[in-house]
Amino acid sequence: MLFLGGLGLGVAQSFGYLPFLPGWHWSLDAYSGLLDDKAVRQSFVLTFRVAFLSTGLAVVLGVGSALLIRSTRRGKRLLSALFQSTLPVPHVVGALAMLLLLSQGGTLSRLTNAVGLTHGSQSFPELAGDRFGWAILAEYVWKEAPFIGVVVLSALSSGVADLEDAARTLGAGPAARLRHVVLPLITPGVLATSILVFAYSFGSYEVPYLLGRPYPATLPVVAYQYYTDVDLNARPVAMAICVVIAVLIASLVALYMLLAERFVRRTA
Amino acid sequence: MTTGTTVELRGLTKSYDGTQVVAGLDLVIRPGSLTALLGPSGCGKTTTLKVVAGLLDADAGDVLFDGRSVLSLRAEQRPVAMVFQKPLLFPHLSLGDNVGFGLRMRKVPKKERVERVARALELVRLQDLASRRVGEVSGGQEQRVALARALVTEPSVLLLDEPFSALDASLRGEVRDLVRGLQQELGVTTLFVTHDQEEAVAMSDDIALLFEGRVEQSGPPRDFYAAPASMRVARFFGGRNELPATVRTGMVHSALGQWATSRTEGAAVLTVRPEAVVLAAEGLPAKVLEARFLGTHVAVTVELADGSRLRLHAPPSTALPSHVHLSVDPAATTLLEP
Amino acid sequence: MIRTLPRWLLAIGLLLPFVPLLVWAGSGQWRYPAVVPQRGSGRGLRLLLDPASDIPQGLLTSLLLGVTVSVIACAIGLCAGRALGLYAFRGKRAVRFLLLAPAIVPGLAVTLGIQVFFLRYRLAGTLPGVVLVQLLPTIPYVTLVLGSAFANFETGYEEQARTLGAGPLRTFWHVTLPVLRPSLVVAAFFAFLISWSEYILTLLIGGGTVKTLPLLLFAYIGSSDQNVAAALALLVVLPPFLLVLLTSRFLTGSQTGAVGFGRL
Repeated sequence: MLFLGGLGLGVAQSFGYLPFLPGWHWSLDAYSGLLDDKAVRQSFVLTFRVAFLSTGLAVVLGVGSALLIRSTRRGKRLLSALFQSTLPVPHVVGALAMLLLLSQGGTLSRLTNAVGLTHGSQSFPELAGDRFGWAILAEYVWKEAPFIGVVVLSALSSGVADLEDAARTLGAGPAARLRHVVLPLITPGVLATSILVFAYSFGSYEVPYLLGRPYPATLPVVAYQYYTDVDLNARPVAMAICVVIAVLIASLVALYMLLAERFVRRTA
Repeated sequence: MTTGTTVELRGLTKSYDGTQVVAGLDLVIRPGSLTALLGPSGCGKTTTLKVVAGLLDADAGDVLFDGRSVLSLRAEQRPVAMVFQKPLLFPHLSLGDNVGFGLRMRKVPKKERVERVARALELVRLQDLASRRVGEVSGGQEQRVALARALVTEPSVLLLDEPFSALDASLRGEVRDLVRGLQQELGVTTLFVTHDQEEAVAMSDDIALLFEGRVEQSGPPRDFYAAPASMRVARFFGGRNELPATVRTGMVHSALGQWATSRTEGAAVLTVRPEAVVLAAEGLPAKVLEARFLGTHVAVTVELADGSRLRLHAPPSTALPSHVHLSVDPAATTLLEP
Repeated sequence: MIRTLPRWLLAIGLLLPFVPLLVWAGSGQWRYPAVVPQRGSGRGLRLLLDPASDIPQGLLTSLLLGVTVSVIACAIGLCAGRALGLYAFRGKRAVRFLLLAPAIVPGLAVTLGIQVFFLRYRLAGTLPGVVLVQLLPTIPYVTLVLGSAFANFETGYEEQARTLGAGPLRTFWHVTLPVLRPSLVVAAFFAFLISWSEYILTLLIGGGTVKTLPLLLFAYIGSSDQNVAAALALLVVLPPFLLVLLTSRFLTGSQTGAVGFGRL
């Protein structure tokens, strides 16, 4: 069994790691080009901003919603079911939903037009296909805030109510319990999860492709553009971008594991 | 040092989903005493404790500390501290910070906090472990930290919710002695929930035995042996012989003989502890069925003339013939409603 | 009302994006700035079943891929999870890192590199090739779920079965699998969901020949035929929702938490 397990792991590793090799060999000479490429620099800023903002918003809204659901009495089951309903939705579908909702000809624009807030599709702010990436942000937050919230809810379900009772008998009021008991307990889990969320929103392709514009685009979109470029010389640049993404995120994964281990130890 | 607070519970009632868990409970807890809330599981003892702590709101009734109602105070405002079944130490804090938590909530200055935490840890003999983390010490030590955490705030009332039940038997005795010692030293009124009658008897000044959300009997532990108030109390404490009896014209009639009583007429159960039945040169004839040597005494089962059986304790050195004579002091028996 | 307002806002925020999907899927003409469609139409929904469109074929491909990937990933995950959950060995941390990494490092970054291999071994553009590439993100998740199941697994059950005369295979079939069933269901569900939602890996390796539903949806979004796109989107979210309903009793918060939908 150990042998088989080792074999299975070997397979998994070879899948995960062999692929990097060509990237390494090909791209060494492409890195200097990366730094000079204005499109890549702009793209890096955009990608980082989108990933950072969506993670931050998802954390705030996810934690807030989880605490809200926890304190709900009537309709708690329904609300938490709703809360988790976005989890199994594929991102492609989420992107389409945001496109139909937020674009200048979308549902929201029609509604503001009907009540007289805007006049015609052109006066509705450009939310999809814009330079800032509002729709991308909205899609990520819509999907990932519940993800973080579910993690928070599961961290809060096991025995935290008892700890809060203990804190109450020691004189801790509602605000003190939130600050000194609840938040410290969910922090490791939220940190670990937000790294996952950051990694995803940093490296995913379909949402920024559908909801962003071709220039400036996020790094994965740029990488794909270079990769499919008719000029084969652009390929090393695509690889270099991928390696940058991979290295950045792999270091985040290492951080995640450290945090996750501490989290597990504490809640064990 | 606390001077001791009187705790009074008046007509406490609490229901969950239509079932009454606490049903009009009345109890007065003497200042500075350690009173055990004893009873089978589901009798409402933990619910009662949580109502006193303020963690649960009663449907009806009142909780008074020194004659003043505390119902308007939320749990965090009441002068109580509680130790739970599990230590419930905050996993993100060191043991010392756990002990200091209550002081921090009360905005005690850091310097004083450190001193008081050190003193509290000393009380539970864990002075060297302040910087350790939760999970790095044993379960018994964690429970002692929880005790220190409760005591450091100098509560008027200490509530203990089966604090030893999660511990190994060997640790239990040690922590139990520590609690009793500290309680007597500090004189803090303590309410202590347990389902273990031996523990209640060994530790407390008073016992309140609860059945179905009401106090069935309360008083010092020896009362429960000497004069159980009902069949249920007698059976809960166990070990008593039960013999059918009848009361007619002011006399009890049973296999043990007859004597005068003031009880009402009719069928009754005569209960008697095995220690109150002694072997005698003459008296009630009985046949020995079984004798088991138990070190300090011999547990003997005998059969009386009418076929009813009786358990008794004989001195360990006795040589037992197959037929014996017994003597029972009527004053050591209790007549109960069936 | 003031107390429930944030809860209503939360519910509305969660549900709002679904609304245009539903309306577009059932509408015909819907010109700006009308708030409700000019007329309803079943065209979008009808096209889903139209044999002349490539959607029924795509549905079949997606289902086949999902089931295949799920079964293979679970088989591998059982072995790897057992090693990870039950045994302590040197370098376990490193193995866990290597296992997690492909789940989190974006598929695009990895796949651009390996596409060359797939081309060389003639796997690009084939169903087996796509299965293989989709195993990449699925195996880590499955292994983590099953690894944590094995970590709580009592090997005494297996030993007990062996002493009662069951051979290794029968022990596995009659004892190990049933005990692990809840986790296995969850793992299979995750694997299916990942495969079902995957876009970029399928596009790169499938090379446009293997057309799964997300690929078709992408194409329809690009073609601006919003009625069909919305209808197709509904078809794409339906199976995951059904699966959630079916597996919900096995899904515990901690599993969702530990493994996460982060990638989905």
